[in-house]
Amino acid sequence: MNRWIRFIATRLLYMALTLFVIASVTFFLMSALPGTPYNNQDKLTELQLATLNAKYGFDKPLLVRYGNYMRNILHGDFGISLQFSDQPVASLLGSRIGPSIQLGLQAVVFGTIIGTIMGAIAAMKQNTFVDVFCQLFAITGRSVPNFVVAVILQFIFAVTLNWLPIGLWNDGFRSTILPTLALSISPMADAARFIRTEMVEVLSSDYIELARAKGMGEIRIAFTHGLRNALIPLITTLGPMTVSLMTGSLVVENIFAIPGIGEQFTKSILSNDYYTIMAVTILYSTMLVAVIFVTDILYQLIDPRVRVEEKH
Amino acid sequence: MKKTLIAILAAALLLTALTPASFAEEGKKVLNWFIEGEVTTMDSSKVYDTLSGEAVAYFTDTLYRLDSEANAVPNLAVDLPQISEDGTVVTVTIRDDAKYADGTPVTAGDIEYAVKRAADPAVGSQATSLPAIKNLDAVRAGEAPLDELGVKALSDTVIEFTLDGADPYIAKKLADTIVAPISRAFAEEKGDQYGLSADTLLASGAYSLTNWTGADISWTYVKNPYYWDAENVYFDVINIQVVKDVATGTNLYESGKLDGTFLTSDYVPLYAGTDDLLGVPTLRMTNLEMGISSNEFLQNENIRKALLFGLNREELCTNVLNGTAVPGVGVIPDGIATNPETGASVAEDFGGQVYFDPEAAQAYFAKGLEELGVDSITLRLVTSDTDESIKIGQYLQSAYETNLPGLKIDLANVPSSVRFEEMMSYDFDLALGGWTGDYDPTSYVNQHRSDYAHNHSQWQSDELTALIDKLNTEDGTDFATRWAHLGEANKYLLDNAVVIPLEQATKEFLVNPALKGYVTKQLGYGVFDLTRAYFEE
Repeated sequence: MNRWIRFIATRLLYMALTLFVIASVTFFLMSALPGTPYNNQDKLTELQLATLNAKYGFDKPLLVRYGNYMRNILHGDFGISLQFSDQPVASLLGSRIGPSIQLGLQAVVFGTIIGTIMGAIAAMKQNTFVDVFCQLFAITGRSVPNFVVAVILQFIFAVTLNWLPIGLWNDGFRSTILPTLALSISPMADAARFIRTEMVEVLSSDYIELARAKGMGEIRIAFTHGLRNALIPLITTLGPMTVSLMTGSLVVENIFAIPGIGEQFTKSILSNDYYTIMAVTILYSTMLVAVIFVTDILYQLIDPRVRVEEKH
Repeated sequence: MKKTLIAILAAALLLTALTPASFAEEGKKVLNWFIEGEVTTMDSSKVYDTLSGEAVAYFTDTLYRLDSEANAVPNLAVDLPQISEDGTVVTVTIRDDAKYADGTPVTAGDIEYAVKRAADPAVGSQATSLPAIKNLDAVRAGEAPLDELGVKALSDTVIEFTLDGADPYIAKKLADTIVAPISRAFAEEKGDQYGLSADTLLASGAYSLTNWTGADISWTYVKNPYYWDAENVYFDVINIQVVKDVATGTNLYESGKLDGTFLTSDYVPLYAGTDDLLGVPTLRMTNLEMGISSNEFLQNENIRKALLFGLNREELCTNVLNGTAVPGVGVIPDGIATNPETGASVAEDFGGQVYFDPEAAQAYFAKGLEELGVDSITLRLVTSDTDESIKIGQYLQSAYETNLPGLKIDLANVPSSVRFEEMMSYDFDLALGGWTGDYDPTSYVNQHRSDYAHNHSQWQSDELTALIDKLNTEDGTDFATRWAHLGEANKYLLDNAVVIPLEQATKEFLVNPALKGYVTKQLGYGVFDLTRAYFEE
């Protein structure tokens, strides 16, 4: 038990340090961006610009602004958005992160499960028609952008068959099905690819031969012995992918008219929306760091070789 | 492990099932409308972009409204503004029966408050749409107190604006939501939370805003029962949906989920000839500009006139641009203003000078070649590398080479910054350029003023400069003479073929054919005014 507490405490400390470094570096890089954060800058007079800079404190020295910003975020104040005039950044992101997280999680869960099953079947039926089909699907899924899939799904299931809504976020779970499918193509393809490669290797190893010799069924071998070992590399890629899916996809969200966070990610940078850029970066890094942390714990559970050493 | 996974899955599914579904409003008149993006603000003092301007207008009652001919018509004001002899003092009387959505009365003091708020450096508005009110710059800079701003409520129903100079378009500028009333009591109670969500806004207009929290992609307007003209407001509910993808918009429109959506030019042919298609002209003029100072052939007036008359603009607009533009009638776009005495449009008063006449063009061209002593000339046409610019460039190349034998055009499609730089260095042959103005037609002729930075042709003319000077000074109070001078400046530019007007862009929409009574606008922010719209039954 003791080793777990120490392990977690050290990791948390590193996480905090990482986030601090990321926030600081982003702050200084962002301050070096050319232009102003005012969308209407082309039409503003020098005077109006000076007035606005004074109002928002952008006329102060960089280090003072840095100090103020860091103090504020420690107090939970992420500042205001200049893109959405004076809306608090925290509530702005808060109101739009929900749909993105939901779609991202659904896509990862659905995609990974289906992909894993496909990969496992492909590995068991190596070099057969089923295997070729699964591999073809994986390669296509990895190369076709998700917005193309989104448009095709929308056309088939919403416009032509009229089974599901075309878009909009007002029909409960039904609204989430098509965007989830579109987003799940990439984790599905990745999972299928990884699992197949790993399992082909695992299934030819000695201990599997032993299990076969003991008379264990093929399916049981594949899912109890093979899959557990094949899952390890998948988990490594799954973390960052989950985060990137949960933080929204600009194009897929636009196609299905979903109030997600995807657009804020890109638009804040394009419009120099300083505090939104900061908040979005901190949010993204926090999620990433947290997911890596969870991944490390999962490793411990799945693979005995990377277990934390008990020191005596 | 397995159980945890199942639990997570179940939780995710449950979460989605709990998302609220839209409820049907039974027996209510509902319009499902679109907007092309999120609004940046719903605070009328801070509006600086088209989308916000359109969204705010639903719940903000303006002194004047623009009709479809871009005339200012009294709305909250009972009559057109009273303007002093020198044009600098503008007095407006407002109706005494106007109320906010909470039933409290709208007063002239609230208009004074709103205008001061928009100029207040502490509010920090990025808006640039305030008229040139006295002391505006000093107040914005914090050098003068708010009380010195040239706006004052003389009584509960009379508001007076003091301007820096006479402004012939003041009534139209007073149709902007930035000079619309804001309840002082309400705004002061909400403090710095004012306008950040639907709860912290109080409607003065036909509708109240609901379901908006700051960055939503859908929201709702509900009819304001206290509105002074409520009996002419038809819809009980207007649902607004942000649609950014044109295909999604048309799919939603086709399935009846939306009563309107926007189109891009590649979608227009699909709807050509249907009742749903609506084109709204913009004030964007696309012109063929000539580097007169840098190219000796273009210094010949006959060559320039050949270019002016040697082009079938109808064909360009219909076949090349899929009907997303109308032929340019002159240097000044149609719809920006009307004759102050007769109400005649730009096309009616100044039109008829730009047309296609291949024989005349060829005669001009032959004469020009003779004067220059050459058999043929080659001109380089620089355009931006956007799809539309490339298409127009290719059309100009083939049309001119066909219509004017002996003319060869080399195309250069470059990034727009490169094109802009060539034009601004006044060293080019032909360039696909343009101009977009607002309210005052003067900016379109001012572009060709001798000492102006955007005078790309570097055309030098004391006559034109004198005309523009008059427009900017003494014509400020004499609107009829001003109109005549605008016509003269336009005619001068065409007679001398200083610039070749090509087309005036339109914006294309799909609108439910049963929807009537809405106004489309070219001036100010936004395209649609739906406050008096209704379904024909």
